[in-house]
Amino acid sequence: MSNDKQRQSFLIHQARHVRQCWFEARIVFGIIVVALTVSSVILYTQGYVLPEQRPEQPTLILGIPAWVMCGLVVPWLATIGVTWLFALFLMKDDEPYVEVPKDMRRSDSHSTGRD
Amino acid sequence: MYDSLLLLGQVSETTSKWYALTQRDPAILIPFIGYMLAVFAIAIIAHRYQRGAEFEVEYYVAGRSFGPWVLALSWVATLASGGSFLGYPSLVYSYGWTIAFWVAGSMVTAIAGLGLVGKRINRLARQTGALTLVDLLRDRYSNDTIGSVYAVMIVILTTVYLMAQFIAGAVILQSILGTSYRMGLILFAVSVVAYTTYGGFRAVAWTDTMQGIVMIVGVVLLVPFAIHAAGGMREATTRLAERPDPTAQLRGLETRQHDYLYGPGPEKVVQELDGGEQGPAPTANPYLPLSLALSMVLLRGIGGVLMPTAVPRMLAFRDTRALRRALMLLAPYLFLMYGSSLITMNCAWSLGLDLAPGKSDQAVPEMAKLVAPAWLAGVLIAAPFAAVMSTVDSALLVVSGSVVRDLIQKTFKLKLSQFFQRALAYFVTAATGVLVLTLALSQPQFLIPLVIHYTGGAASVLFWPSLATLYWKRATAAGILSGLLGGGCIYIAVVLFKPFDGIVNLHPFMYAFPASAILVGIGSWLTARQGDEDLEFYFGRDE
Repeated sequence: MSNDKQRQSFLIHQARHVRQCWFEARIVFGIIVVALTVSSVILYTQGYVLPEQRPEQPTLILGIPAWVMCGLVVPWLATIGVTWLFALFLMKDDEPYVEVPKDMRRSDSHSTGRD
Repeated sequence: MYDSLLLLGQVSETTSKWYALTQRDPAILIPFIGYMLAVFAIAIIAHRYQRGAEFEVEYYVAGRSFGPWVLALSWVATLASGGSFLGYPSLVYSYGWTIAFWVAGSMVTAIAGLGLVGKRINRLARQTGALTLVDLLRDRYSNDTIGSVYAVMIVILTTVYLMAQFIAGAVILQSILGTSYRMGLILFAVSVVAYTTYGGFRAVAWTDTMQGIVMIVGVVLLVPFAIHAAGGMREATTRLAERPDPTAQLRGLETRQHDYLYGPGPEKVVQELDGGEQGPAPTANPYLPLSLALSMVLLRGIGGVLMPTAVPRMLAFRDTRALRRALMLLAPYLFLMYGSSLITMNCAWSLGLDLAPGKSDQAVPEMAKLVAPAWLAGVLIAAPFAAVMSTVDSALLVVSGSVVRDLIQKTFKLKLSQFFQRALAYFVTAATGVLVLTLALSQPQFLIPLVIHYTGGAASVLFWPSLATLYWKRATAAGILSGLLGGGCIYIAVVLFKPFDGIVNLHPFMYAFPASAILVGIGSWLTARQGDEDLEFYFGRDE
């Protein structure tokens, strides 16, 4: 392959890689925002109760305070599930590694990778 | 890593609890001794990989060969320091279920840490030959100032952080072996520096993997023993609800109902509290007000994404498939790690464990004594030690890489043969260990604030400049420098002058983190964008 074609191929692959990474980063950012917001809102609204408003018998689920179960355990398990879905279906294996064309190589470049 | 300050805050309160535990049954030391032998065996095997390989690629990124298990477990072992296994449980013991809010940010640590930047860093590192994140920044902007500033910041922050970990490791050994602090420190330093220097990044990653397993086994297996001894979780929580708040009593405050079951929790424990406050009537100072809880959620959630010690893993994994699987392993791992201690230590009160305020560092050994059989107590002793070791070995290599690669070879443009690269890498790694050992022996007081603010400061300074370099075409060298230096300056200013403390109690990170983002943006927009030729390499060209 001529150097020009190599270069063209490398740049096209690189652009695809960047688009996919951006796509994945937006999803990750969304997961972070939703998980932390949902969890914080539940933890605050259900867990930060004025002393005089606290029930004599606190509500427990499996021995854990209900606000911890609803605000921490359940969102955490849901986040694990979403993380798995993300890793299984949304995060794509990168395209086959395309060698950096000679004229674009950095002085330290060494293609030990495969992807 | 986030919890290191918890541990450091308690090392002066060293107790002989661990030692007493080992005296109860010397067999407890068997898992610990086995663990130490395994660490050295791994270093010897890992060293063999350096033969015939390109030295620096092998020594600093292990030939970019990590599979999912090594990536996941070495990443988490590096991020979790001794504080995660001693400091965090003692927090749970001190403040009960309130800590659920404090730890909530950890639910996204895995996906933020690996999912946000892992793939991009790995790909670019292969293409540019980068062995450190600084290599990448320097390459993208062709700017030595950025590389030098970033490297110097990493060296300073990580060296100080290392000191804290050395102290923690020494204290644990001191407690286990019943020796002096000085002897504990020397034993710890010699062992960890030896295997890190000799084995390089591969030894570090493999030992971290083993350490990750030891850590999770220790904390998870304690859960059923604790629940069983407490007569069930419901019984434990019901009894915890009746726990009086000793700090409130000492301060002459009225004890609030069910403080250990709800936010913002019982009174914050203050070490110098002597029970007799002077002046106006004391006001309530609960441990976790909402503002501080939200700060911790954000800091724990994304603060660790681009930590200097965690980033080398991103440069070292084999392919995206390994990354995806590592992500799937890490997500439940963190849940088990933090969830287990939350349950175990909330059982402690119902088991009759009644420690005075400020003595909660004894909570883990006391619980081990109360509920764990000898073999599990042995693993519990090894777990915090493993966590400290895994953090120290990674940090040693980070400092070594920054000095040898980023400063000596790149900033000062020294061309070294393979022989001298090897000699220099060994020398700098060992010399860093000796320097930190010397610092830890004297424990200079002026460094302590730096340690306490390591995580928040590093996240404030490093996150946005690094993220912009990876994802934002419009980022420029001036913007990156603005974010690096400005974020640091704002963090220090907030710590020193506390300008908003009377209004809202936020962690300094909450000001410096967004400020760094804004500065990266402004600095970049105000300066000329990079040429298309330079950007094409990083961002490609559309079809």
